[in-house]
Amino acid sequence: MKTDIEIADYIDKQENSPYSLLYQQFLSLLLSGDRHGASSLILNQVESGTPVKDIYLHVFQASQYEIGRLWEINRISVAQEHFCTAATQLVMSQLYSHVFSTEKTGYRMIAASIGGELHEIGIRMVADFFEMAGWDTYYMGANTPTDTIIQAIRSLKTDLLALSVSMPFNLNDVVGVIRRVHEELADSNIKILVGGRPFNVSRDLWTKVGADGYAPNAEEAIIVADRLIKKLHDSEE
Amino acid sequence: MDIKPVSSESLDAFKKSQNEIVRRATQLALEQKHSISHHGDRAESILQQGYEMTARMIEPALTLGDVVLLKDQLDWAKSHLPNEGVLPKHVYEQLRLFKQAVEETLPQSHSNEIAPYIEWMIEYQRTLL
Repeated sequence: MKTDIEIADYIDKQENSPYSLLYQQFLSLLLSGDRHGASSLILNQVESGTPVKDIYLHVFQASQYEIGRLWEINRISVAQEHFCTAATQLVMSQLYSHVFSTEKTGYRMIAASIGGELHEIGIRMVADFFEMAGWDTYYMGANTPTDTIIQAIRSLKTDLLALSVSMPFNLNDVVGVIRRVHEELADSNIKILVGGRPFNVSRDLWTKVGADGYAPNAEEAIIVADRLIKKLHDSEE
Repeated sequence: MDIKPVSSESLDAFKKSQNEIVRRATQLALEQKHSISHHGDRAESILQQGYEMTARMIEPALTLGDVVLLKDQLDWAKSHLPNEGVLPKHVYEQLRLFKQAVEETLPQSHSNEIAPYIEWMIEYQRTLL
């Protein structure tokens, strides 16, 4: 894949990260269309002891933000953006033996993207982070129908529902899902966590959609979820 | 930055009339030859897509009373749309026509509730010129 992106344009964001070099290499490989190279780079790194969580945060998440930014300023095409995202998802799936090997906490969560959303990599990272934190996770992917979510919450006895949205015009669907969960599962103790770009730009939006909490990224999602669960247990005692 | 969410009646009216509002706004904007002539044959489709996106973006803001969402979109438009030949001054003018289309299409009681959101967008867009 041809690209005229100069590496200097996109390396600055991660210069303080201990994974700055790895991030630069991964992003360069993606932008030059080298999926196998990107995969080998990450697999070798994990084999040599780099924690998968760090790869997610400092390499995958960081490079996705940068790819989004490059698309916004018209430096890469939609095709390149899609290629980079698909390649990152492929590498993520190659790491699953590491993600699914954690000791379990007994908590269970469902993760889904709402409305016609096709941007699923963010919520997938969130689900993987919960898995690495010992939760049982059910990743339902993009464009999940509300009926499916409600049915899954019922049958899986879920502690947490994590909803992601990247386009503001899907917010009304988020409101609809949350309302239905509250109406139809009023007797459950499920907590609802939301995230995605609209919530990052409008910090009290999560209260307006009726969620129990909000997290700006996968790492904080775990912290907020633990807080919500602890609060629930404290109130039950 | 919050404005009171609109009533469910006004929101429903907006949703039901969205296509008509987009059509009317596009029609009004096509009359402004000075700001669209550089798009050539693509002018109508560019305007229509822009207005469809505007209507979709306004809807959650109307429901939730949250104009920060609109600010984010206008900031995005400022950085991205010039690549498509749509400059901030064009967006400013086209938002004014969108307001006119809403006023012409919806009953006054509904358009009065929605107007503060579009006025907020117009005013914010003015700061981006």
